[in-house]
Amino acid sequence: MMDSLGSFAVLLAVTACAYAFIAGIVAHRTGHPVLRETARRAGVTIFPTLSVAIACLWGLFLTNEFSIAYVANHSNRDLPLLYKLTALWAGQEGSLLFWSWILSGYMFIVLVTHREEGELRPLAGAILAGVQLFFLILNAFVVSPFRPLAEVAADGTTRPFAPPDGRGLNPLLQYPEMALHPPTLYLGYVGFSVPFAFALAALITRSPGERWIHVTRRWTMIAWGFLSLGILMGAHWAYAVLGWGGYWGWDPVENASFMPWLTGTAFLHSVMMQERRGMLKVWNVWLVFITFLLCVFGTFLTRSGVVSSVHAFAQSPIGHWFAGFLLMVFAVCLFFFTRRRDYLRSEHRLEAVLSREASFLFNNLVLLAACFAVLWGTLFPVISEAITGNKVSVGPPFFNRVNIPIFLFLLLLTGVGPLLAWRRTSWESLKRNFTAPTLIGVATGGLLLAFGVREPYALIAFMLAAFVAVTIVSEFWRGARVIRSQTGRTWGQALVQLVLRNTRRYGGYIVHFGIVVVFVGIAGAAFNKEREMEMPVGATLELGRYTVTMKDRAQGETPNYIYDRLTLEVRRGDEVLTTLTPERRLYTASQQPLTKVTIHSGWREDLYIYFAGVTETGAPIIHAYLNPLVRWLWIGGGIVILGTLIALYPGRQPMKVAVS
Amino acid sequence: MPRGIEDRDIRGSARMATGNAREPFDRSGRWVVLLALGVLLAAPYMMRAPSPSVGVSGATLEERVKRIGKKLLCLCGCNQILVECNHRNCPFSGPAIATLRQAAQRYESDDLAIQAMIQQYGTAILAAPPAQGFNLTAWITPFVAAASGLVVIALVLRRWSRRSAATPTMGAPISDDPAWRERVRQEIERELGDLP
Repeated sequence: MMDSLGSFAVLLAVTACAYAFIAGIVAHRTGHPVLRETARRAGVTIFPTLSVAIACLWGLFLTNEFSIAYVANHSNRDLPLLYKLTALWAGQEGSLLFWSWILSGYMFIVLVTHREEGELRPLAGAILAGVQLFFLILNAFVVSPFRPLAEVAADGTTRPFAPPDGRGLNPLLQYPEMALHPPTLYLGYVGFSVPFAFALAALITRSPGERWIHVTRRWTMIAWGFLSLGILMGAHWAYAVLGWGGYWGWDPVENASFMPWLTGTAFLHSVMMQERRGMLKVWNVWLVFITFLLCVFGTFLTRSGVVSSVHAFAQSPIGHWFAGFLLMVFAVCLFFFTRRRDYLRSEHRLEAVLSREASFLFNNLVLLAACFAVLWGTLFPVISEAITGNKVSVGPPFFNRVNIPIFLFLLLLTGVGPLLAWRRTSWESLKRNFTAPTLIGVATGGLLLAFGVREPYALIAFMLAAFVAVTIVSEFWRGARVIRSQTGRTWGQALVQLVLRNTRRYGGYIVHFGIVVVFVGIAGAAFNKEREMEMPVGATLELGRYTVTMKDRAQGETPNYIYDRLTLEVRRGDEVLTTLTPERRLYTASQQPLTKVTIHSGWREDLYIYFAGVTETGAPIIHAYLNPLVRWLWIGGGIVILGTLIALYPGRQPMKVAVS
Repeated sequence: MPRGIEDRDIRGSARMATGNAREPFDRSGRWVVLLALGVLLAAPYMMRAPSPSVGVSGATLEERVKRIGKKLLCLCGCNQILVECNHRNCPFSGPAIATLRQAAQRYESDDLAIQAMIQQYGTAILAAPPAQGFNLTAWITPFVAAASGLVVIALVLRRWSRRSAATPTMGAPISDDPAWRERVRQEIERELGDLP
């Protein structure tokens, strides 16, 4: 019943979407107002219709309806409730339906708001419907999550089949963060469809004024914020679940999420050139297009099996669909770009290299270079095999060696750019603004050298982090000082007023500060230590300031898995800090093993314990990592999200302050 | 508006309106090209092996295995560094680490141990492509792309500077024109208020 209703809802959504797309295009060409309104209404109905389909799929999971292939493959009776809900996006079919649902949600918001966009919104709605139609066709006809299980009888006929229990959810996905990581990542990926639709619609209609770029920027910021959060949570999941002691492995699927983030970041910077100076219009339009294309490309990578990855879905013919869609979208973008190129002429020229505009140019170049390096490294094994016939691997050493210098240069620009004036900066103001940050950066380097830090990249990262942090803090201090002198308010009140006065500007600075903190967290990886040891009860392992003592070992079972649990006492000096309980589990339904990592996290470092295995004599083997500054990576990510939220919050009018 | 910002921008704008824009652009263009050359020169450094190729005396066998193993990849599909692969019952990493241990025992040089691993498992076992033959392009291309981008920026700056120089916008110094100066100040204040 629920599967039929779900399938029907998807088919209904396909029909409504096809109408919204075709009627929207025809209405744009003919200007027919009734057709335009019906296209809008058809587009609006997709979200509630797909919500019914999503509710049906959840219902099938909650009622253990194992006659449905997707449910049987990703759930079992004893799976905890939370994971029955998250199983919705655990596999190819469900995650694509989830993707469609999010896209329909975005489309719903676009179609019921943005009334002021005139001709732009109906066409953007039709473009969104076109994108939506592609995904809905996949949901309905290629990878339906409502497909029933069937078995072939002895006489060759097929009949419905329902196993007594499902195969269970992949143990790696049975982690609370999995309830949030895929949805936020998808909100980011899918969210870039909206700026893409507005940018393409503006190009097609030669939309007058710069209104469309404001709309595009705002939606890009929303998608960028979600993508940042999704990437951050993915990194945290990898750190807390995968057990290799790191959070980023330059896996093709990780790279697929990182590339649109880089181009989206480039757009959020270069769009200011268009808003302020009417420059870089071609560049901005292509950045929006490329960001969307990279989102689709990432999905293609994840779902086609072109590159191998632990995160990827099983190899399937769906990759051809995405490759075709990718080519089609690119062709459409190229066609309208060549036809409407005159619309994208710059209104001004760059006046000086030492200016905010030039810093944005360099910032964009560095971000695009990083994106290209990641793309190139990800695809190189495929390219190399196609050309030379030899298989090569491109792993973390390549990406780290190529990208670290690029990102350090980007960190430098993070500090330099905002302090340069628009149009032209004088050497005097350059000296005035950068003397203190430079001195503090150099002093930080000297101090770290004196304390024995010799890792060159880490040293440069800390110096640049200090430099950029001082430039940001000085911007806040300078602004708050003026408000204080004018209003007599406290420093706290003045800072709040400053931020509220121009949320975009100061939200942006907070994002930059978050990036600095993220860099500090990442730079800590240069000082990682690790040790592996056989640990019978009573044995002790020393790592850095910590002493880990094996106290107990217990085996048992829950309805979902059987476990082998260690109890480890962690001491620093004479003080008992905590007790950690790493486990090795075997999930009953799927018969898949998982090792549960335990982490004692601190401001200075993380003690990361992994139950690596057992010896031939049955003694447990512990792999312990000491990972300095990792907590700052998560804190920095949180600051980035906070800054994004502030930047999205509508700011007040600038306060008029007399200039002496 | 903070005074420092105002000073900075007004002076900047004044210079923009009075000075000859072409010369600084040409100079800067040269700097950008030099930067592009620097980026290209950085490529060989990036290709260099980051750690010694000969076994460090005093290092235990396990330390060597760990060090060499960090240059190799697990080929079970997990894309992890060979000695960091932690999949239980991984069909590849266990036997490959055992082979590496034998190679490290047999050869004093890390390079020779790595060659032995390549002979056994092919070049795919290397965590980064070797900087030779077609694989050289893996290392060079990102830097060539970045350097090309810099050159394009230099060319764009040069073109724009010529157009700027050709336009008759360079008038008399504005510092003597209070009305013009006030207009610039208001414009900058409005713009800085709106945008970062």
